[in-house]
Amino acid sequence: MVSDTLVAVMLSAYLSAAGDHASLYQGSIEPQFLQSAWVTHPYWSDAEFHTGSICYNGILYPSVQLRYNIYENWLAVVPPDSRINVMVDPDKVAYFAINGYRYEPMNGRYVRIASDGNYAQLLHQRIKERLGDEIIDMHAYHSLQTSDSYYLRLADGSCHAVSNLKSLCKAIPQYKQELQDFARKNKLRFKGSRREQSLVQCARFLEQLGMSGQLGKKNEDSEINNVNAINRQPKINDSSLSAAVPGEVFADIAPVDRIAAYYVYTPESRVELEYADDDMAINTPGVDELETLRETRSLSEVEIVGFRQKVAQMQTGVEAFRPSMLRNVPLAMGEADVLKVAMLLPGVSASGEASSGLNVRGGASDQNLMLYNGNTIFNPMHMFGIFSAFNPDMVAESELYKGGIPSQYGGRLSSVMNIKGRTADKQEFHGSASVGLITAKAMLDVPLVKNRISLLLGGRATYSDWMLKKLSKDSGYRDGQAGFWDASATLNAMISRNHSLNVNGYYSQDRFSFTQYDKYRYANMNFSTELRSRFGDRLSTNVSAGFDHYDYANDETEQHYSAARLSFDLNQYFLKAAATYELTDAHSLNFGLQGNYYHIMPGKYEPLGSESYIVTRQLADDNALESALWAEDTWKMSDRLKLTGGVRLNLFTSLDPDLRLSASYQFNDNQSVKAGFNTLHQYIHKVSNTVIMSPTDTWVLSNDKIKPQSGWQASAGYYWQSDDMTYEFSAETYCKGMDHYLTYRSGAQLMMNEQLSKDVVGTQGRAYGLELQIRKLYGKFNGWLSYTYARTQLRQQGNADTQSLINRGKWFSGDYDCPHEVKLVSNYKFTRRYSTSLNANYSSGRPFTAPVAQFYNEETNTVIPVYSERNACRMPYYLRLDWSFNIEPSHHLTNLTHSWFTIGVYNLLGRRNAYSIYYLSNGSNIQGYRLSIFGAPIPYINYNIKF
Amino acid sequence: MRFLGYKVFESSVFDAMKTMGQKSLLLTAMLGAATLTSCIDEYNELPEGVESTHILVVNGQIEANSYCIFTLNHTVGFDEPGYLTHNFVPDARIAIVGSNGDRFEGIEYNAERSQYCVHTGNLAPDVQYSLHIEAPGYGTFASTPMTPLDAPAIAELSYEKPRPDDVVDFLITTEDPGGPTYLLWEYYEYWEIYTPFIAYWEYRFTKEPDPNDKKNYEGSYIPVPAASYTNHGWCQRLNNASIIADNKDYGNGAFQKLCLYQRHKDNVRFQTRYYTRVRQIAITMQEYEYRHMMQTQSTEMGGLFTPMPSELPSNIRCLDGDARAIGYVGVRGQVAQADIYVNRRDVECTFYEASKMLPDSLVNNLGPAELLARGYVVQDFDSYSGTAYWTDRWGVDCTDFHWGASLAKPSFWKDKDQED
Repeated sequence: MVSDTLVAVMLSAYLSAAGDHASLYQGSIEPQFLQSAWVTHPYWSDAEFHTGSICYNGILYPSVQLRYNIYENWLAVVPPDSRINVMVDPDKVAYFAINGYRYEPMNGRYVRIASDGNYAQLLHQRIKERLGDEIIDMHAYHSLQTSDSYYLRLADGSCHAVSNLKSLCKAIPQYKQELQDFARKNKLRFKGSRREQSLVQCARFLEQLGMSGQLGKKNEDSEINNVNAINRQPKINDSSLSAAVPGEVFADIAPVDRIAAYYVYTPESRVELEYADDDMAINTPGVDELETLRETRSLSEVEIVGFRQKVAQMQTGVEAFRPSMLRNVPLAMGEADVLKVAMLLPGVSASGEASSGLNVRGGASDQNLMLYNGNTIFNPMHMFGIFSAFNPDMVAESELYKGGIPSQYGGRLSSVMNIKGRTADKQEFHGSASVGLITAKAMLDVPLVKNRISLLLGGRATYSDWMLKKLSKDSGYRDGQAGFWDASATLNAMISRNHSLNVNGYYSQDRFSFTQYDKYRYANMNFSTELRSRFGDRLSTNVSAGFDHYDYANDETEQHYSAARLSFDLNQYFLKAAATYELTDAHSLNFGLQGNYYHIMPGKYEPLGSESYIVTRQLADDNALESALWAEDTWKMSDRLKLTGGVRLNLFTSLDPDLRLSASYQFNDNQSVKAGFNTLHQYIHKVSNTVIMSPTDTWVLSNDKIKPQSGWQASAGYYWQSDDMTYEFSAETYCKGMDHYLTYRSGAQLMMNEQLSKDVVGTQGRAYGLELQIRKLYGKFNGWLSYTYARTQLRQQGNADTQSLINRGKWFSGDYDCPHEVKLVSNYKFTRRYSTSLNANYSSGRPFTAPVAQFYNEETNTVIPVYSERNACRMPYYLRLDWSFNIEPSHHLTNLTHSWFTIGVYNLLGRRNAYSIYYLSNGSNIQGYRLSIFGAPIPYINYNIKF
Repeated sequence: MRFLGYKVFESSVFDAMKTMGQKSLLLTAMLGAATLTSCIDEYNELPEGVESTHILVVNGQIEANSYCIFTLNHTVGFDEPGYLTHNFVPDARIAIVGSNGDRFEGIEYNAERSQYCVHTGNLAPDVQYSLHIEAPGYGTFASTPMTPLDAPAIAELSYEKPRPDDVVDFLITTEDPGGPTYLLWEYYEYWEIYTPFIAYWEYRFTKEPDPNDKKNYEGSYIPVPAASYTNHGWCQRLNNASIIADNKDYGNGAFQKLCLYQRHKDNVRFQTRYYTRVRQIAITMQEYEYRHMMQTQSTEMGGLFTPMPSELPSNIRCLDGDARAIGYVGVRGQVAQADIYVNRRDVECTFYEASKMLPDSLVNNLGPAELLARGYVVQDFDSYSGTAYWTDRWGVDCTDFHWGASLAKPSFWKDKDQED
């Protein structure tokens, strides 16, 4: 298992460090292809670049933009940063892979491995030849003729041209009968579009014969008798892998969980591999060849042939996505946003558009652990929730654990959102900037010591005050202000080959005011250091320590005699040490300890100005230590069956053990089933009786009166991926229970309440659901469609008489209970530069408490609504369509800068989706109102520049 | 104390709630500024699946040595016909019962409005009192027994115009209550009004207009006796049970210059002379929450950060079933009171509402009978030229709806020169 990680870490580290300076990108510039001069294109399938991988000069480059010009017979790539098409040296190409297919050089050209195997491979060669020119409208257009040929390559290295059953039988005459029977049984046809499919089936049939040994037995006299498998000679220099890495290999965390299937070649070469990441325990189902690397750590070539993300992952309910997903997804105000994209995933919802509080599988927004570079972000929203606190340019990748939460995470009941920041380029200075409707952001990659130390700086600010200035003078709010800024920095230092250090800092501040007399401000501040180390071949550690801070201060100065400030602050000091130790080939142990020391100032109310008569009042500080020990073993019982069992011992006011169990069974490369069971505890709670996160929310620690929230979740899923890995389907179901879920009694006073526990009502919760998702991972058209059925219900606990309980002690729908959700994310690339995205989001209406009657109050001379039982009614359904069009940068080499645009429309239908429905008395009657946050189509444009 | 502009513990909570509602609109407006759209629209669909029942609603408080008025209403569904103000609960029996056996029986003194009156005597400070209700068709109810609560004395009632926005703050300072206290304030406002003109003449018919021939009438302009002038009067308004606060922000001590309410300096109230009388009543925390929530849920819902609505708390329980009743019946002990006068020049009031004379052409064309029929009145008459000056009724009559004044001078009213 460690080897899996090592491989991935190494690859990622190298690529991160090398950037555009990798030898792959040192070739000459690809001549421009003038589409207008051709009737047909000269490329394999289309004129677009495709994301794939390439093994070049012994180095495997994943996620490379590739395009094979068959007519000219050159392979072009796009460097990740400069985005200029470069032709690679064909002599150094071992192979490349696009859309799940591998292409290998053969006779000076590249052939596609239509069917791979150890005993029989089907190769596909495509040739395009000049047919002449066509005259269309007095213009000459070049025309090409395409011809396809297929070859069967056997284990002895012999190659046979095949086109139908006859030629197949001719290639392996001793299996003529079997092949004919097979073709007849499967009704194979070898003409037209079915030719390749039939040849592939035959090749696989032959491969099966080879795997079962029949091929050798029957063919004792044949030339392939003594060959056990196709001889895959190492194609690279033994030492090239480590030598090619500029600097250390410690640069980044590899997306280990994405790499699902390897073909590893194991010659004599020996390479020093480094790794340092506690995530290495994440299961990576490899193929048998990988096992041989476990001890030797010797390899010369790794090929990533595709991603089997969900099929191969160990846990249920894990979602991972990269920033590349963010850029094209149309979002409000055109701002790419990690949290908003998360909301497009099944099982994740939000209370409304202006809400960054996630509700994962029926949980409250405070039941999600939001980690950014290991730091906890307590208020991850800007500007009423329109933007999240995370600058998308600074994000490397994000993981959302909504089901199988690893043992190393705890303290929250619903989910863990682990956002990992980028590290800077250690070679060259880079920068980027972006201007949107109301925000601008910039980022700098600063190499301080070449190949060793780098600094990443990023910042974002808003200039939204202009919107308030647009209001009429009569509104009284022209003096209002609203804005935010955030900044983050990451220093990455390679101390040695075995140790790397990351120092992260983050600060964000929001401010808004409605009049000159009120000011609201809140801030997040985070700092952490992280040391990743490796000791020997089996042990790696990750030690981090840091400080998380959240505070707010609201000033009210309308009355100078009672001018006051209300403030709150929360400090969390943490230390976390995690280790992964590979006990045996079958067992990998992840263990560690964590301590969080909380220091909360629950509230302070103090006078502002010398004339204020307000008496300073401060609630008693709340201090507590939350500590945890965990150990988790991943047991690979067989190639198919894997089990993970973990225990997390939480110590707060008492010792609360958490169980983490999961199992996965992989039927084959395409299908798997998984199941998991978790128990969780939460000791810090957000105190809020609003649906969304509010800038005046406070946090409170569990004590003898406010009991820790506890919960369990059982989940199971089925996962399928197509052979070419283009399509992925998953079905997950879950059931969870919660105890001491915080709700508040009617009329509860949450601010500056010395006896808050009296206003807190412990409720019992239950949630269950089914999540279906189909995803197209590659191609011009990609995206996903998901459907979720989910229910969340609560019931007040307590021994009081039922009359005083919420809804008389009956189960009632939680605020986030939306039974049906359908989400569509679709992207289409017209060309490499132009693409479009269309998203759709449908969900059942949220529950709400509506008035069912009214009465006239003589005292106040108003009509008062009488509300139903809590959440007894439902809002209208929610439907939103978003669209965007993206123009990627040009490829001019001489340009110092590269820029790109995104234009789009949020809420294309202009539907007035209800954020809330509320009822006001207009003196003689009760009138209902529907508040829509974005009640019309919102066009936007974003301009980005990179240098 | 406030948050999001929303006074939580202070007195002007109701005003602030309205402000909060506006702030929800503001956010919408902020976003709307970019989208050029309004995002709040009326929603008239009734919630489905919830049936409403008639719930007893009780209004009124127990107060020592007074005629306590209790009104019994019931709730109605949104789709029920009829007037909201006419959902009475007649034929009920009510009484105030003390834990020492005292019982003050009530009478139905206004059957048309289902108002019941209980005349109380002295309420012993150590005796718990509750309201008992027998309402036919609803059940028997009783409020939570409680002892009378005494309010601290008012140390000072003052006003200031400290801010550049020309708002006058009315501030209250109390004596130290000696501990945590929840207070309720009611205030009565009186103000003196002068119309722009004095009517010195009137038109009196000697022959009433013929309904079939409106021009067939006779009459003349005659002077009005000085005692009949209607240009000077007094308006009044009771602002009942609208301000609540606790003294946590003052260290559980005396309230210091707490702003009860505000008036703009150019308000009609300051046209001449303004008077306010404030009653200060101690309430329990439960009553505070009840009033707070009732106001919140009727005026301030819908904000992004607004707490979700919930059932109103009540201290009235059904004794013979599980029927629900809405209301909070408190027991008042000693009520503190203070008053203050404000003169026009004290707040630099510039209020002036001018009425215009009707043009001669209109007067001549219409004639006195038609002018009177249209509500105009004679302001002056030039007996030499025979020219009559007509104007709007409110221009000379402060009892007109425009002003809503009474000609009767309040018994307690002190003129400027009578002040100490």
